[in-house]
Amino acid sequence: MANKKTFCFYVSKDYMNTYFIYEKLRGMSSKHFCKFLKINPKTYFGSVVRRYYDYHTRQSISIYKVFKKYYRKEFNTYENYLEQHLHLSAEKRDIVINSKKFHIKRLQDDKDYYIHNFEYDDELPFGNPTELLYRFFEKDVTNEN
Amino acid sequence: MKIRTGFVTNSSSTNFLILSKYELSPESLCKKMGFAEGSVFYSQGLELCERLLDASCRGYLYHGIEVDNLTEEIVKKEFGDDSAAEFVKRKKQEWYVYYGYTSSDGGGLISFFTTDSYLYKDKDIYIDGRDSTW
Repeated sequence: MANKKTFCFYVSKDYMNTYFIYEKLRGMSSKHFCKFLKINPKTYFGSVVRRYYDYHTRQSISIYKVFKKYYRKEFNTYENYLEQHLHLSAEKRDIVINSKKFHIKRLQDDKDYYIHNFEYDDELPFGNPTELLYRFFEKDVTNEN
Repeated sequence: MKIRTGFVTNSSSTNFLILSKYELSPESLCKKMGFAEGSVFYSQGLELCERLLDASCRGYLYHGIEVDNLTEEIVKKEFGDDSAAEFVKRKKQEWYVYYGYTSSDGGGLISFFTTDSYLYKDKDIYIDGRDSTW
């Protein structure tokens, strides 16, 4: 039996350090996000949606590669790194540790940081656009319970 | 573009200019802006377009004063040379001209639209919203 699990989440260290973590898989792009939302990517609102997606994913880096390259000596294991450096909860660590395709992006670094104002619109469907991102990154997983 | 970090308590407004080959209804503008029927954003998009067309009846906010007659000089000052040239060209071709201002107090997508800075054009519509006082 399968259920849905979201493979993206935010990690906030403080007000100026919000990270977006997601699993980078084939077939996931701003164009696919537009298709998922049934928005024509070549229109004004399509450009807003694409900017919003790119804001979360553009120039993101592989968490595992960063660990291997810079932090292996300091933290010994990948799990320690996720726990102590990125402050991920046990549940999130379990998700991230099972795939080396997880990427991370510090949102404040983005040149289009302004687009995050889009998130303040709580009149949008499902609460706000963040929820739409969660839904886009959902995938079927085996329910072991 | 200005970058906001932190909380702002005052509201903001922005002028917009829409040049369209065809007369616009909320539904046709909605389609042009990318809110397809069946999309989760459609009802919000339709509300945004209704309010844009309503705002077009109010006039253009120029130095805090509503101006009913948009001229090439004003377009040039507010949006730049390229939009002024487009304005003149499209007026000659008898395109429909919609101009007005929106406020960030509007709620929904209108708030985002107000604070966004954008230029969109295709073969039969031209939307300039770069004159944000945000």
